[in-house]
Amino acid sequence: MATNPQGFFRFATRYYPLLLDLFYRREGFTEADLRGLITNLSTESDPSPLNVIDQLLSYGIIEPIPDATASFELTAPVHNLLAYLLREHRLTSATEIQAHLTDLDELREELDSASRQNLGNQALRALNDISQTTERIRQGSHSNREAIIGEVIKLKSNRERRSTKERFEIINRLWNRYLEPLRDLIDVKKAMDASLDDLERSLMTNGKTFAIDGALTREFSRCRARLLRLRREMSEDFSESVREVEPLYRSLIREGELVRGASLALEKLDRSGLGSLQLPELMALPVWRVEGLFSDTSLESYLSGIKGYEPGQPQPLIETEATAPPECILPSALYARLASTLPVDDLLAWLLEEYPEAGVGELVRAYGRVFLRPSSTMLFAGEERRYVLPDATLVARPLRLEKV
Amino acid sequence: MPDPSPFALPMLEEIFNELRRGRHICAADGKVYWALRDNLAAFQDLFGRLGFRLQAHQRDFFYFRGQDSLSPQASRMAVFVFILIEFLSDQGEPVVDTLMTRTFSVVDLPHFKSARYRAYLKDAGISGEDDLHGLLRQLERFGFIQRNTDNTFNFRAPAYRFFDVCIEILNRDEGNQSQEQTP
Repeated sequence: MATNPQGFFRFATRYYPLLLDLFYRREGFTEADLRGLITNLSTESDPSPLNVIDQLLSYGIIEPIPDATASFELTAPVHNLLAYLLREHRLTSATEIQAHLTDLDELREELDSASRQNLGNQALRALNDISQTTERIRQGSHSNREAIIGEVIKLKSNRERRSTKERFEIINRLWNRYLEPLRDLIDVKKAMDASLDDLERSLMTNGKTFAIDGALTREFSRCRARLLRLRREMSEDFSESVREVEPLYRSLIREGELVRGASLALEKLDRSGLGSLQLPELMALPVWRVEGLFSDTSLESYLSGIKGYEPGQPQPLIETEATAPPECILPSALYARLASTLPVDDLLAWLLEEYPEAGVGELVRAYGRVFLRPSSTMLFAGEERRYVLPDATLVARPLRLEKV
Repeated sequence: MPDPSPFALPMLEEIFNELRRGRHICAADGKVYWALRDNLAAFQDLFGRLGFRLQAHQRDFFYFRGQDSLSPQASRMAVFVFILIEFLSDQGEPVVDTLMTRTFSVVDLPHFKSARYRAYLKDAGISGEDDLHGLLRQLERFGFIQRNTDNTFNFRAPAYRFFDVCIEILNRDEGNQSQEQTP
């Protein structure tokens, strides 16, 4: 049944908040949800929720979801209309645009054929279709630009607090699915350019064929103007989209790499240990080893004080009186002297008398040499005697020496 | 007229003392930074002849790149930053902007709030709040952070070195993967 446009828009005005709510429920909604939403909006004078649901169905605003019971979604035309009004533009893929270009090629052939046969009516129909297709491409391109910019703004503000990875996935999809193929399509000497060049030539040539038909000539002229506008605006839309997306895309690529690197590092740490990351080598932070330096600050400051010191004249040496060297008793001389004196009644007393300058140590050493000499013949006295020296007193039994 | 001495550089002693301890010098360091930046070639030449590699990072900061004796503290500091990067990303924050502009509070750090992060830190030798404060002191000593109070800090430009390490680890891994796939 045909929808009454006036009734449709009146109903849409009354239930606009409901339509808005339904528009953003992308996964659809159940009948219970719908009743609840309608009840919230209704006053006593309004029809019942069931009645409103019937009207929604009859105006073609909602339709059942095919694979679910008592669940609905907005119909595609209403969704598209709301998307247009709310600037929630849908993205048109390069494949869709390519399909329109193929259509244009076919329509151009139709126009060429009509021109060859001089069929004005057929040419007019072809021109109308060319105009519509051209406008569809232009709207698609413009819608893409709006959708892309809208998505970029959402990603920049990130109110949904998506992770870097998730944001990168979205922007990467925009880039790879829409912008890169479109770049490939609209680049000079590529498919679209060639197709539109052919169409422009056809419009110029065939326009001359129907030059005497004023209405048709105007249609040719309008079609050329549409084509010109399409080329200009598509190029603008694309440049503008790239200008919006590219900085965010590049920045998210960098940030995505950063996050992936950090997560990979943590994963490796967990799996293979900290050493596997070789972080000291990557960071290469120097360690200052103190070797061969004065760590004692007082010594360091003392040495700093020495720096620049100039020595004066050396102190003169003080001359002292000559001192006699300590007496040394040579064994050979001792034995010779003893041999000329034998017998000696008291060896120690004899040594004290003969070597008055000798110290205690030297006297005892000489005494011992004589006593231990194998060839010596000696005899100790019965009673001890005290020998008083300048710095010691010795007590011994006198030793009589008869042979040395 | 005799050639000027190669040692006649502004703030040479201060700059050398900072750099040799591993500190990264950036614009926030004021006079020391400007003295170094304005005479970069002369400093690089002098330090190079003495066996030190003075690096100028593209983010406009300077540091000595160690050669033989490297600080093992680098591992702990890097793990600390890796955790923060992952956490911020999971929270939907713009990682680099947040790290470089936000004032972080020790009590709000995610490091001890998840078992996984605690395990990473334990592997890096950090097992408690005291260790964490010690680590923050290290980060400050090397010039990666500026501590405002005992419990709050900001990252300084040299923190970009940790970002470089992340990219390096990723590139190394991807390089290894592509080598494995090459017949």
